[in-house]
Amino acid sequence: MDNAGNSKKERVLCQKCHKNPAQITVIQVIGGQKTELKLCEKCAQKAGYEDQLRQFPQNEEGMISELLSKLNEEVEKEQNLFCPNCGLTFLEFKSALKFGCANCYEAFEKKIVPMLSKIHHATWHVRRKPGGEQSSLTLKELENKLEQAVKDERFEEAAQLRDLIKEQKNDLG
Amino acid sequence: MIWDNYNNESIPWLRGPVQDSIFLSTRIRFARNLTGYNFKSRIYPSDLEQLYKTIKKALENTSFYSLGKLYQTSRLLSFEKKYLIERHLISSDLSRAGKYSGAFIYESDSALSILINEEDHLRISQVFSSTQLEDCYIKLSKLYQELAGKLDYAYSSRWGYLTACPTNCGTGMRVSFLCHLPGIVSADEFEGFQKGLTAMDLSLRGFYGEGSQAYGNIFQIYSNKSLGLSEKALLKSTGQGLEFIREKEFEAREKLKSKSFFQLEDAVWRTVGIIKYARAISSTDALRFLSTLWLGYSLGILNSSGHKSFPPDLFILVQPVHLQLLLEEPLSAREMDVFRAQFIRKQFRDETWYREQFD
Repeated sequence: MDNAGNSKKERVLCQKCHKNPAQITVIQVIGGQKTELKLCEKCAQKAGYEDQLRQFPQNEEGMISELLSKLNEEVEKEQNLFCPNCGLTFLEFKSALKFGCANCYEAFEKKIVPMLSKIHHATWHVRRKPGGEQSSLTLKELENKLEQAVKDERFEEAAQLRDLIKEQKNDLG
Repeated sequence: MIWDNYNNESIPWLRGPVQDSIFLSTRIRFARNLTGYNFKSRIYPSDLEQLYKTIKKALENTSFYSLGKLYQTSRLLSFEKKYLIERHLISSDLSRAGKYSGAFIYESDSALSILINEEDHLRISQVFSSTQLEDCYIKLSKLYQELAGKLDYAYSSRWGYLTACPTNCGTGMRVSFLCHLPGIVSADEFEGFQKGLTAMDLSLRGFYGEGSQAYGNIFQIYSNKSLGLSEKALLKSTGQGLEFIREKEFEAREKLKSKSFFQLEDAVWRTVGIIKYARAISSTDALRFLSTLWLGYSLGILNSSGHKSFPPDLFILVQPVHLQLLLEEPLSAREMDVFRAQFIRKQFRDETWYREQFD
């Protein structure tokens, strides 16, 4: 669903009532077929898109300021992040690319996953065991991690976890 | 003095039993940190001494301690540090490190160097001549096992061995090769070659490490992935990397040979002339000439009478500190160039298998 702003030069009328300017575009994909329906606010409410309407601010300015404040929040979070053991801040780590202690890995875990994935194309340690590679986690632990990674849309990490699970299952079977 | 134990007319572990026309040496390194201490950048000054002593004590209880020697950085003269850097046994980072840092060095048919309080608390590396990757791993693993039981390493199930730099965590293992690539450099195939290396998770830098120039067409090529693959898997992939480098360099040399053999032959024989008659040679020129001669021998332009291949340690022996150590008195830069010319001439004349060209 899209928010077609008021500032658009060409006014499109609502495809249902054909009276009010269309403000909402409903895009549906069914069986590979994409349909677009442009509606005014009233018709959209009637058609049951009330919830979606509420999620989006009414105008573009509102949307931008909301995005900005979210971004600011992220930046602030990053600025306040530090390792409770050695006191290294995340920003210090980012500029020197050196951890201050072993605990930093845990303190910055969420932030460093993309970075380590870029360096090593992997985000999990594996050990050699007879016949194959193995993670130091149990099958159950790996499966939980995989579920979480998929949920969070961390797909590269999920792919590595999937391989590790396959490896362990092969060993068991 | 540190060099009392050394022979400066050759480096035995580089003239090892196996020699190669591309690879000077193969190195494997493990990076480790001890639990209970912060890493280098955030460590408490009072902890440094204790950390150094803990590692020293663990070393003293190994079977190999009596064979080598532990040097504390603060007790080394700057001259001695440079000597060890020229030999690739310590890093320039270690030479600048504080009082409680040091290096344990043991040279035999290969070279072991254990750096204490460099970027990580512990950096253990083993170097073998040419491409003895398996042997290098076996020897290093043995030494490592002995030490590992005595120290408690920082480790997590997710990130493996925890290192100061995120590029080293996981196995903490890095494989690197010193190799001579005159073909790839002169055939102008560097860009494609580098892309190939990147695809194999390998990187490249100059003879003396990051930012240094590739004098004499000598490069360090090293693995840059340590997380998500086991030690054995890394060994296998770097073994494939080694074959890739060999193949590309041979291809480039063949291309040069078929395209411009005459120019190549001319360049090699001119270099023989310079080595024979020049009365002063600078250290960068020396590396250049050595590279051309080595290429000449490996392409059969010069005859090595089927004895041995080129002595690759010459690239290190012609460095300023190594040369200076052969003399009683310190020399000026100019005098050094004169002595270098004499030294190289003598090396080639003395080796019977070069005599055909150099007498």
